Amino acid sequence: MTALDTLQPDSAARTSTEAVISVRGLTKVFTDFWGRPKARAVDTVNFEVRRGEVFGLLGPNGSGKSTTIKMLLGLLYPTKGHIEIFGHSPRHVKTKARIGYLPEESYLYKYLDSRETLDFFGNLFQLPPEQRDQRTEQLLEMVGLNQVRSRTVGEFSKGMQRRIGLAQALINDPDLVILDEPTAGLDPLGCREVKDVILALKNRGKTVILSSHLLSDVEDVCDRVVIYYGGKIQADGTLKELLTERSSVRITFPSLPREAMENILGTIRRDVAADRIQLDNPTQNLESYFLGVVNRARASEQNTSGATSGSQVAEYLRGSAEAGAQQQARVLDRLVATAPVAEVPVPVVVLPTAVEVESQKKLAALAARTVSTPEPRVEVAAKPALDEVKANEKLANLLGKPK
Amino acid sequence: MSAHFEILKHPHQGLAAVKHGFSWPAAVLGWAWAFGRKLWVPALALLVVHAVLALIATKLISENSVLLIAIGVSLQAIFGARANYLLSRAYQERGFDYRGLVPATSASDAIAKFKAVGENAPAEWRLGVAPALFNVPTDLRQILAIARLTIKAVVRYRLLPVLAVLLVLVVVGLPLMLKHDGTARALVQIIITYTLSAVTAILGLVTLWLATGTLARDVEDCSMQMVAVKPIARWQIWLGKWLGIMGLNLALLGLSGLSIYLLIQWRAASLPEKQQAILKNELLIARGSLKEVPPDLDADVEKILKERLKEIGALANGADLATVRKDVKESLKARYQAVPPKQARRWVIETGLARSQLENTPVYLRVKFRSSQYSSKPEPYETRWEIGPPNATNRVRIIRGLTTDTFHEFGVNLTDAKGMPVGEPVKGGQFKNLLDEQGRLVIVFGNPNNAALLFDLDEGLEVLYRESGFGLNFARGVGILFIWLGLLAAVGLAGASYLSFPVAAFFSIAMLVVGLSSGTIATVVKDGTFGSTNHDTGVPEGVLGAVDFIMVPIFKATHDVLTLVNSFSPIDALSTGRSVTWMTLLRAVLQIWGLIGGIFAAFGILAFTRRELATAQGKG
Repeated sequence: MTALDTLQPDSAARTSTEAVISVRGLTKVFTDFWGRPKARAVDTVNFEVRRGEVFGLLGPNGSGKSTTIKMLLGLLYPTKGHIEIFGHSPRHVKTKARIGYLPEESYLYKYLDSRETLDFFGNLFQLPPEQRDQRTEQLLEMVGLNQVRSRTVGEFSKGMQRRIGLAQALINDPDLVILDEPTAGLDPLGCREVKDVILALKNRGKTVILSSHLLSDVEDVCDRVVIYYGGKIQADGTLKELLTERSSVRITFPSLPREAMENILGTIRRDVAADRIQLDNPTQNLESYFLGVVNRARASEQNTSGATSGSQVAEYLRGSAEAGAQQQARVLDRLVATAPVAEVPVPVVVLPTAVEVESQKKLAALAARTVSTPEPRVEVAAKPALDEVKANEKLANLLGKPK
Repeated sequence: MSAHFEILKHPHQGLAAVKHGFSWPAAVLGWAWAFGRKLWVPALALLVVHAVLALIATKLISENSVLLIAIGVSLQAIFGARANYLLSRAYQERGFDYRGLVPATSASDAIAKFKAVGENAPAEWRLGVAPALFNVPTDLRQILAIARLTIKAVVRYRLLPVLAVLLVLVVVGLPLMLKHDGTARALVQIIITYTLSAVTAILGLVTLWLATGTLARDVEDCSMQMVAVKPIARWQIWLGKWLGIMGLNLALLGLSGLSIYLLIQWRAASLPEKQQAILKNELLIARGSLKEVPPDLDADVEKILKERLKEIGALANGADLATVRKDVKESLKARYQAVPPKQARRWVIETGLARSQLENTPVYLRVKFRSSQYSSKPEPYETRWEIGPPNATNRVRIIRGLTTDTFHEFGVNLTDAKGMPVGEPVKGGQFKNLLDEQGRLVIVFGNPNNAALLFDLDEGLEVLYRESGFGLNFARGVGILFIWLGLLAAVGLAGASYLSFPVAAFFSIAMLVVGLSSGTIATVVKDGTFGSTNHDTGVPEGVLGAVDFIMVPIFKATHDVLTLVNSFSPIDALSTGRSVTWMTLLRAVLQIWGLIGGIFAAFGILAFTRRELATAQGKG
C-alpha cells in the first residue's frame, strides 16, 4: 500500500454489515397534559448502526440526540416510527442484558458506595456473585476508584461520578454501549481513558453509540456520525467522507536545510500558486502536553485525595484472543503508568528551542501564511482529520451558532 | 483449605487480611467474635437480640422455645455470612485501603503472600473467589437487589434509626404517661390497645410516605432510568420496592411488637394476685369464640310474606312491598333479640371441634344488651343465667347485676380448689364441664326486670374458651397489622407508579382517609342517602336525589371493598384475649393482599410499565 492509498476513504474495515440498531421513521412529539403537541423533538429520523462501529450523535443542545438515545433505551416511547435493537423492541427485557448505558448526568444512587453501586447493577444483570466481584474489582481499578471504594457516590466529584457511571455501564461486558456525553466533567486524563475504553471496545467488535458536544472526542473515536438539528438528521456518513478536503494534501517530514526546502517548494510552486501553499512547524496538542505534566507529577509520587488515574482497561473488556485489542488496551498503560519517569514513554513536549525559532522564521519567509497545526510525526495523511478548529468551523457553518 | 482473603492497608498500621465469604468463628461465637473484632454495633445488637430471645424462651413462653432456638440459630448463620463483609467495611472506615484478593490458607499467609509479590496482587488471584452461600433464582435475585436497595436508602438516610427510636418511645412512653386503675383489663387496654394502635398509625403513615417516595423520587431524580435500562422487568422493580418496604415494616413492627410483649409481661408482674389470675385466664390468652347459629331472617321474611299474601290475596293500595318486607324483618329481628319482662330466652351453642376445649378449660360469657327503656347512660339490671344441660346436676345458676350498652365478661364454669363455684378464677381453681351429651352448651337467660332487654343478634352473646397461648396469638395479631401495612405499601406504590411525589402522597393519604371513614360510609350505605334520616321512620329527609343517585352506589362499592379489609380487628382481639387463628391470618392474606392489594398492585405495575421514565432533557 502506498502512502497515497491512505488518502482514499476508509471503508470502516472493522465494522460488519450486521445492523445492531435499525431506526426507521422515528418521530417523537412531546405533548402537554391534555395531549396537545408541545414539541417535535425527533422528526422522521432514519439510521442504522452496524456491529463493531463507533457511531456518533452530534448536534447542538435540544436537537434531539438525547431523546433518540432514550427511545433506543426504551425510556421514551416513539410517537411514530420503528426501532430495532438486536432484532428486538427496545422494551424487550432480555435484550437489555446486551446494552450498557452511561447517561449525560450521574443518575446513580448517592447513598451507595462505588463497590455497592457496581454490585447492585451487576445483580440486575444477573451476574453470578464471583463474576460480579471480579468485574467490580477490575472496573474500580480501571476507572481509578479502587482506593475510594467505601465513599458514597454522593460524596464524589462530578468527574468521579462519571467514572463510576462508566464502570456500571460496562459491568455486563455489553455488546452495545450507549454513552451520552461520556467525557462531560472529566479531566483530560479521564477523557483520554474514556476514549481508550471506547477504542478497546471497538477492537473487540462491540458497538458504541456516542453522543457528545465535544467534537474532538467524536473525531478521535467515531467511525460514522449523524448530525442533528431541529430533530432531523442534517448530515450523516463516515468522518472521512464528511471532513476530508479532497482539494488539498498535507505532507509532514523532519526539518530540512534551507536549500532542500527551497528545492521542494520550488517543485511544488511549479504546479501550485504560492499563495495556496501553507507552511508551519508541527505543534503538540494541549492534551498530550497536559498528560505529560501529570505523568511527571505522578512519577514524583505526589498524593491526591481524588480519583487516581485509571489502570488498564478491565481484563474482561479487553478479551484475550485479540492481539489488536491487547495492543489497544496498552495505550492506557502508556498514558497513565506509574513507573519512574525514565521508563515511561512520556509524550514528547515540544518547546521551541533557539534553532527552531530560527527555523520558524525561515519557514515564514518561505511561505506567506501559517495557520494549520499538523501532527508531530512523519506521515502522509488526509489533512483535517484531527483539526479541531476546522471541524468546528464546518459544523458551525452547517448548523449555525450553537445555542 | 484455601480461601480468599481481602488485603487492606493502613498508612501507619500496615496490612490486615480479612477472609472473603462465610465466617464460622463469627457464626459460632456471635457477639463475642464481634466484640473481639471491635465491631461494636453488630456485637451489641446481636447481644441484645440473644438476651431477649433467651429471656422469652426461659421466662415467658417456654411452650415455643424450639421456635425461638431456631430463630437464634438462623440469626447466627446470617451473621456468619455477613461478618467478614462487615469487618472489611469497618477496616475501611478506620482508614484502611482495599488492596486486592489473595488466595491463602490463613490471614497471616495472605499477608505474607501479598508482601512476597511486592504488594501488588496479580489479577488471576481474584479468580475463584468464594461462591455465594445461597443460590436463589436469578429473577428473584434481581427483585431482592431492588428490595435491599430500598432498605439501604432508608438506613443510609438515617430514617430507620429515627423511626426505631420513635417507636420505642411510643411503646415505652405511652404506658408510662397513661395511668391505669390497677386492674388487669386497664393495663391491657393501655399497653395493647393504645400502644399497638399508635404503633400501627405511625407505621401506616411511614409506609405510605416511604412507598410513594421510594418510587416517585427515583423516577424524578432519574435514578430509575439507570435501573430500567437493565434487564429487569418493571414488575420486578415494583415488587422489589414493595418487598423492601415490607422488610422495613417487618423489622420495625417486629421490634415494636416484641417491646410491647415484653412490657406487658413485665408490668403484669406488679399486679395483685387476683388481677394476675384474670390476666392469665381472660386476657393474655387466645380464646376461641362461639355464637348461636344466626337465624336466616330473609328466608323467614319471605316465608311469612308468602303466607300472608296467600291469605289476603294482594297488598293494599299504596303499600310498598319493600317497606313491608323491611317491617316484617324488623319485627322478626325484635322477636329474636328481645327478652320481655319476666320471660326467658334460650341460646344453644354448638361446640363442634372445640368440644374438648370447653370441657376442661375456663368458659366465659361475653354479653351486651340494651333496654327498651330509653336512658342516656348505662343502667344496671339484674340478670339471671342458667348454663348447662337442662335438668342435669351440673347445671350452673348465676345472678349478676349488669349494665346496659356495655360488654360484660364472666366465667361460668369456674370453681375453687374444693369445687365451689366462684366468679373470678382463683389459684388452684378447677373448671366444670357444662356441655350436654351432644356437646352443646345450653344457656338460658331470665329477665326479672320490668323492662324488656335486647341482645343483638351479632354481638349480644358469645361464649369464650381457651384455644391456645398468648405468644403466638400475639404474633398472629401483629401479623394482621403487617398485612394491613402491606396493603398501604401497595397503595403508595400504585400512586407513585403514575403520579409525581406530592400528588402520589396526596392520593395515598386520601385513600387512607377513605379507609378510616368506613363508619361514615357504612352509615350512608345503610341509610341509602347522604342526607339525614328520620330516626323514627328511617325515611330520608331533604332532597339529595342526584347526589344520592351517583354517590350511594359508589359508597356501596367502597363499603364492600373496605369490609374485606376492615373485617379483621386484631388489636381488639388481642386486648380482649380473643383468638386470632391461623385461618383468620390466612383469610387476611387472601382478602387484603390477594384481592385488594392485588388490584392496587396490578394497577400500579400496569401504570409503571406503560410510563415513560424520561423526558426530553435531563431531570424529570
